[in-house]
Amino acid sequence: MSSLRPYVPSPAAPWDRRRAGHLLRRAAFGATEAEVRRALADGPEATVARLIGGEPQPAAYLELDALFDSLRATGSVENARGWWVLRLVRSAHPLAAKMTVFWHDHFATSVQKVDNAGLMLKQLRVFESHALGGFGPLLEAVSKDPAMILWLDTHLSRKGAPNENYARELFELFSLGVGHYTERDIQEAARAFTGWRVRDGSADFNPGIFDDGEKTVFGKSGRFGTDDVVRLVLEHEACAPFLARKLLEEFVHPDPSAELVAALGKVLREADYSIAEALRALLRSEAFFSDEAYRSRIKSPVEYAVGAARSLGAKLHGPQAGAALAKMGQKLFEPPSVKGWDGGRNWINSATMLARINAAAVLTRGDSAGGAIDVAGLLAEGAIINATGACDFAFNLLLDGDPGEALARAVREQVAGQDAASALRTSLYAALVSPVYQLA
Amino acid sequence: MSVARDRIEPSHFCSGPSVGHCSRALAAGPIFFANAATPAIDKEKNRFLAFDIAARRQGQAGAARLNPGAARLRIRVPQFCAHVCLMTALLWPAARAAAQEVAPSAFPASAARASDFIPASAIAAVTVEKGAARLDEFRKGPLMQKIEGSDLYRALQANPGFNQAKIGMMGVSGATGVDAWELFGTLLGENVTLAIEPFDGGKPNLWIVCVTDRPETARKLSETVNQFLGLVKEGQADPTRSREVAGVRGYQINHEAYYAVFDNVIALTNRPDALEKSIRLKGATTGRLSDLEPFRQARSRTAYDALAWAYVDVESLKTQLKEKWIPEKLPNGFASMIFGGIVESARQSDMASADLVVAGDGISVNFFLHTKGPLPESERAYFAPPPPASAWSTLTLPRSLGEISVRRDWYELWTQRDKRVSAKGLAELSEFANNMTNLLGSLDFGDDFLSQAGDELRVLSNLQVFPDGKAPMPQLPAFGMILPLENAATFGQRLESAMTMAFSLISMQASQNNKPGLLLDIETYKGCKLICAKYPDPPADAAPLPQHYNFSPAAAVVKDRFIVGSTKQFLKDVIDAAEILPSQTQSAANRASSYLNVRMKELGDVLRANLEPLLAKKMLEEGKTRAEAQFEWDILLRAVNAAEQFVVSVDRVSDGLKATAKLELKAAPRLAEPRP
Repeated sequence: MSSLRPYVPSPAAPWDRRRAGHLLRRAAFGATEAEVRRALADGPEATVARLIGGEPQPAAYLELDALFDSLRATGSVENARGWWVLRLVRSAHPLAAKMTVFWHDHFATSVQKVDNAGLMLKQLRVFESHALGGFGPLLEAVSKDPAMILWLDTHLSRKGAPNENYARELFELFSLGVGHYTERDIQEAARAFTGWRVRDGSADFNPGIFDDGEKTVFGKSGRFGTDDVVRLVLEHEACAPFLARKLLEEFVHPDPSAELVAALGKVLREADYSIAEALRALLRSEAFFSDEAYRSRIKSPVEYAVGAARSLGAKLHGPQAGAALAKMGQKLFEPPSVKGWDGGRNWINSATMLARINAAAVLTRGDSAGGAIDVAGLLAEGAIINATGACDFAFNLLLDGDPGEALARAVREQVAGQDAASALRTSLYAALVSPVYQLA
Repeated sequence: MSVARDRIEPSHFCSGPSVGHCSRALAAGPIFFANAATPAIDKEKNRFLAFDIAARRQGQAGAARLNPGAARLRIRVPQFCAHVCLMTALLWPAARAAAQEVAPSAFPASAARASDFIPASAIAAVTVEKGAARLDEFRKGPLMQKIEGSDLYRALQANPGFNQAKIGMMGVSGATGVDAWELFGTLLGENVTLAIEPFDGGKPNLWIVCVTDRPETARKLSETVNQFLGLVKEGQADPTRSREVAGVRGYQINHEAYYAVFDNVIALTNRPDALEKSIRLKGATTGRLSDLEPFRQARSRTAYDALAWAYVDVESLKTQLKEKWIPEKLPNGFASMIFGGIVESARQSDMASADLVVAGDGISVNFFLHTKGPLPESERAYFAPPPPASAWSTLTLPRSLGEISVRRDWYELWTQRDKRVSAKGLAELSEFANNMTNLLGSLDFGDDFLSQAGDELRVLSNLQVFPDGKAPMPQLPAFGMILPLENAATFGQRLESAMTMAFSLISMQASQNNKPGLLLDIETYKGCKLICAKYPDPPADAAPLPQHYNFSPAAAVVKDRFIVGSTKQFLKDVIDAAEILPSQTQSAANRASSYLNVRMKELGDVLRANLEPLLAKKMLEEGKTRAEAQFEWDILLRAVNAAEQFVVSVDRVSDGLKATAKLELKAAPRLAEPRP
């Protein structure tokens, strides 16, 4: 696999629809035809800069965002799920939006146990505000997040009876990985996380039940508290490679090389764990645009559905979209365990593939309550006047212009004789359910 | 068909792909002939109607013929209607003028009724009375002006859907050459009846029969329909889609619609033999729905100024439904306790009727279930006699949202429950009783509590007043139950200790589930001991508050009433209201055995206070922008604001069960003169 050296377009590796599509798919769920054209015109460096920096949020997003307090108070997890999905679709900062899903999977917390949609939304706000920021502040915020406190039983932990759940998962799943800590480290760190309760929807520190004695974690001793353990974790040599591997698995390849992991770990450590800087290096790298990386990951349900909706400018019914994602195997706010979703090949089985096919049908049928595309708008956007134009548009938009010979032939035969609108629906549907589109 | 350019009949309607097409055609003196001989619903996408459009230019007058190679167009119905309307407005002023020549008042009202043309085997019918006259009065009356001048109407005009519908209506009137009001008036006529007759072979027979006071317009309408659908070609009825019965020609619109116009009657049915039955009843004196005694009884029960009324032959309905009819024992225990009397009356009923009265002060619907005999002794518990006149019945809370009142002999119903409720329902009731017994500590829910409970259970609701910046979201109204006690002096004390226990258990269970617990307290207010519970004060910066801050449950025994409410303030409001009761001199009016009242102003206040979550729901579930969601809620709130209150009452009378639902409007002019 190639290195983190910046990708420079060349005749052998031109900046074309394939690479622009790849970047926008991985870093922005997917893109409209106009966004692909803009990326092609701007080049990779400017496009990555725009993805990292984001753009001003549109009114449609801000209107939805303003519903936060009302949703938190009314406490419907279905509405909360729908609200998140709609904002993923409408966000003008899709990379940050994508990272909120990444962090939700990383710090997997389920409403099943937390039993409070308002707290889950509050946790989502933590992920959003730290989406591309420093990993350290994020880890500190998560350690004091009410939903996480309830999820990993920190609220049951007190001086003399520390609960080890959070400390164990912090080391194993959130920051270091197995093999980089001892049971003793867990027991000592658990003492540092005592004192926390959830009161009226907020984390509340009670010094009376905090164990303020001396602890020894990773060979260092002190009267450590929550922030101290987080600092020790960040100083641990295994932390940066652990996070680098997860980022590479998400954005580059499901099995990144050790060299690449080490290189990105170095970037993270030098940038004080800035996620934005790590992603800037990663998204501009030769490794990212390499043949090994292209279409090497299976899309998660969120990537699949949100990507399709963004590319097609579809109008979604929020709670129904959330329910459709659940059928595809990704019930937001309800990851199956503290490890998050297994992902990869586990995303696809006969049931979840059927759910993807149904979702594609709902999106492209256009008259369903679950979602609808603006066919007239797409016809105008692509200047489509006949069935051939419709096929080309769908293949370019969703499959980087490379549907494969068999699919292209089958779809062209199917739409022959159809009017442009019908042909467009058919072609989009065929592209969305094609094997290639299931790959990010 | 010969057509002169200067005399265009409304029946020569125009349709086509563009105004330009039609203009050119008219300029040359032709007709642009749209033949929709085979209109069909496209089953895949039923928004579309497919029409075979044959456009034909005629140099001079001459017969229009079908073009066998007609182009097939797919037309969206609303756009199609809008299109027809625009063309008509632009090109067919003469057609509109011709339609206006038909003066509705020129035809005397007929003594015949629509039910004279429906067979007596029909088991249900709905009749609209004097629809044409009412429509005329509405159109010319002050209410129409009021509506057109209202904010609501202005708001609606900004809605594209409303305008599309309006244009569609104009299009229909353009296509028929008859003004839309005139068209609807013709179809509503003197009276119009929709009836249904069971049919062993599958779908039932349906009739819509109208006795119109405008037979000439009906004839023109028929001609237009025949022309439009190709039922008459070159002046001759298509023999494959029409048939003559007793001198009347009936036409087939499609495989589920058949119609005929004769004298001043328009009959539309879903089967050819049903249409034939209607035609053959012409001049008959027996075998008609109107000859049936139960049907006559139903009509005689309707209010004199009813806009519409309905009749159901319940005996026949039971025969038709067989085992699907109401079972002897109800599966839901709670429903049985509350609604068992209504259900039992329905089981004993042989005829049901209803009427709709639209008057200046509101809209009311009255139902009546006629029963063969008096209410069986065993069912009397459902209709407990009114209590002795009590000032409590006049109790009104400040900021009252409404109330539900049910009067039952609760203990009798409870002890006899196994006779009325299925095994599944009994299990539900047992579980509920066990839970209540646990909550009430030492009191058995049935033997101790219900045996001491009086008959009239009232659930009242009023709006809460939250301090600025300390309102929960959503803001729920307070509510509570008022129950008379047989022996308040002694039993009241046991209830007070039971309620203390109940609040403790609820609080403990909440704490075990990581939910906020309750703080218990006892407070004396105007001499009454209140058992109270409340959630700990929220943090100073918490806004909006979580929804559990809508509740601070409390209970008390006040005089001879046990009161339990969702908030302490609710109890204080009841006590304040009860305090002034002795000074009230009017005798308390007896409520019906089941009674519901909702005050619309307060309902509007509740909706407005919770507008934010309601907007959120619309935005999330329907993908609407905030402005669109706000617009829709504005319309609903304005509609709510136009009404005063909604009242439902159900009671037993000597020969059946009577129910009334009334929406009282704030002020609206009368829509129709009373029926003599």
